[in-house]
Formats: sequence, structure tokens, C-alpha cells
Amino acid sequence: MSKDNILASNFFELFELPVSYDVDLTKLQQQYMKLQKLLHPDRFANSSDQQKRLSMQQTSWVNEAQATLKDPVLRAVYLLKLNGIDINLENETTMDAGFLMQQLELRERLEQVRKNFNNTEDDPLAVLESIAKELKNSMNEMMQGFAESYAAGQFGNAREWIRKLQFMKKATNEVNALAANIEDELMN
Amino acid sequence: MAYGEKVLDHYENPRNVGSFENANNVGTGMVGAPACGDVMKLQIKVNDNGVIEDAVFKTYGCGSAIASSSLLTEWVKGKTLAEARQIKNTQIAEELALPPVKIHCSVLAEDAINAAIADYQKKQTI
Repeated sequence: MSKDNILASNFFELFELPVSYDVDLTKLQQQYMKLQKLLHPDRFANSSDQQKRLSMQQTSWVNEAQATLKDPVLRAVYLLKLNGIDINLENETTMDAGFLMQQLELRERLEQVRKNFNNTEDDPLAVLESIAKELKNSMNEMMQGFAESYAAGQFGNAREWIRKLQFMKKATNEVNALAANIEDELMN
Repeated sequence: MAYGEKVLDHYENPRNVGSFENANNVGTGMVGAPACGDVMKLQIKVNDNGVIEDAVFKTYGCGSAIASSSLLTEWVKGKTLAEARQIKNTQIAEELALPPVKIHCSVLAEDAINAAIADYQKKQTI
């Protein structure tokens, strides 16, 4: 990747990766380090303000690209975007009722853990760990589902998988936050 | 972000939190916002005259989503289904003084009541 092409490249081109859901994370990291070196501010210490500004823009583009391709959900969203499918999730609220019910039940389980962690025999952290594991397993299945739909050019289905993955990601964050909270409380 | 007074009030003292047993006169609306992962369940109990007698909700999400659903359950009680369908998210957003980034929470509430009404009506045709 030459420096002049950075802002004109898509995220995959930037790291010389094939446009695919399957990403070689080691290569991604190597290419990322290479570009970072190329764009390091020290190299522009004596450059014009314009060049400094440009290299900063390039750096932020490269950082965004790396963060996007590293994350399986963001990567999926980006792939669809490259195919002209925008995921405006903001005002789209209806979906598979069974799935939403599961999400609700999951949140209820978390609430129970939050409320009862002091007066229960179960180890709350072990409970959360097993929930996190469940989430991870179903996220892996969903990613698999996305990969298959995407490979088959079924972008509508691919999009549905992404919408579900968004919920799962949020739920995972909540499990982690709750575990951190409980750990803090138990220590005090 | 600073929440408005009414949002805080509904958030801290949410009205009508709960669930109804599934029955023929109960309509359930399930909606979710993939962007923020919020999930909302809103249920209505409808009498023989097509009037919403009672409404409950369960929302897992931010303060604005909880406040929007809490407010909405208050508003729909005593209304006919047709009247309830008239409620627009903009009215909720205005009442709660939601900032622009939280408007989608009021959309969620509007979609939830419409989904609940649709669910109830579907049950009546079977």
C-alpha cells in the first residue's frame, strides 16, 4: 500500500486482504503495524502543516479500518455496505418475535443475578460465565449464518443475521459489565 | 447525558411494569432496537367494547426507552384501539423532551403499541 492511495482504498485493500468475511487476523495486524509505521507522526515532524493534516486523516482512516475488520459484527456490516446495502438500524424495530423473547428472558436472567448475588448459593460469577459462554456459542452460529448467506449473495438474510448479532453484542457487554460490578462488590 | 425531569420520573418510578398471562383479550407487542440492543414488551388488555382496560410493559434498555414505554402505558389506558393507534412517537418525544439522539426510543414505544394492537386483532379473527 503506498501512502497516496490510503484514503481511496477500502478497508480490505488497505491491508491487502481479499474482500471476504473470513479475515486473516494475523495478516491484518501485521499490515496495520506497517501502515502505522509509515504514518507515524515523527516522520512528519519537519513536514508542512498540510502534510501533517493529511497523515492524521490517513491515520484515523487506518485505525477505523483496523477496528472494523477486527470486529466480526462491524466487519459484517461493512461488507454489506461495500455491496451497497446500508444497515440503518435506528428505526427498524420489528423482528422475529421468538428471538426478541429470548433476548428479554436473557435480560431477566441478568436482572435476577444482579438482584440476588448476595443471598444465593450459586456463585454469581460462575452463572455469568456460563451465560457468556452461551452467548458466545450462539454468536458463533450467527456469524456462520452470516458468512453462508453472504457467500451465497443472500444479502437480505445476511442483514437479518447482523441485526441479531447486534443484540447479542449488546447482551455480551451487559454480562461483562455486570460481572465487573459484582466482582467489585464482592471485594469490598 | 442529562435526562429531563419527566424522563427521570418515569425511569425512577416506572408505571405499569409487569406482564399479563396470555389470553384472548390480551395483545402483546415485542419490539427491539438493534442499534442499541434495547428490547421492549408491551401488553394491552382489551374489553368487549374495544377499549384498552389495562397496559403493562417490560423494557430492557436506556432510561429514555423505559420512560417512553412507561408513559405510553399510561396514555393508552381507557383509549379505544383506534385512538391508541393515533399516538405518535413525536408526542412521546415531546412530552418527555427527548433529545434528538433518543428519538428512536419513542419510535420503539410507538411500534410496540401498534404491534400489541395487531397481535390482539389477529387473535380476534381466529
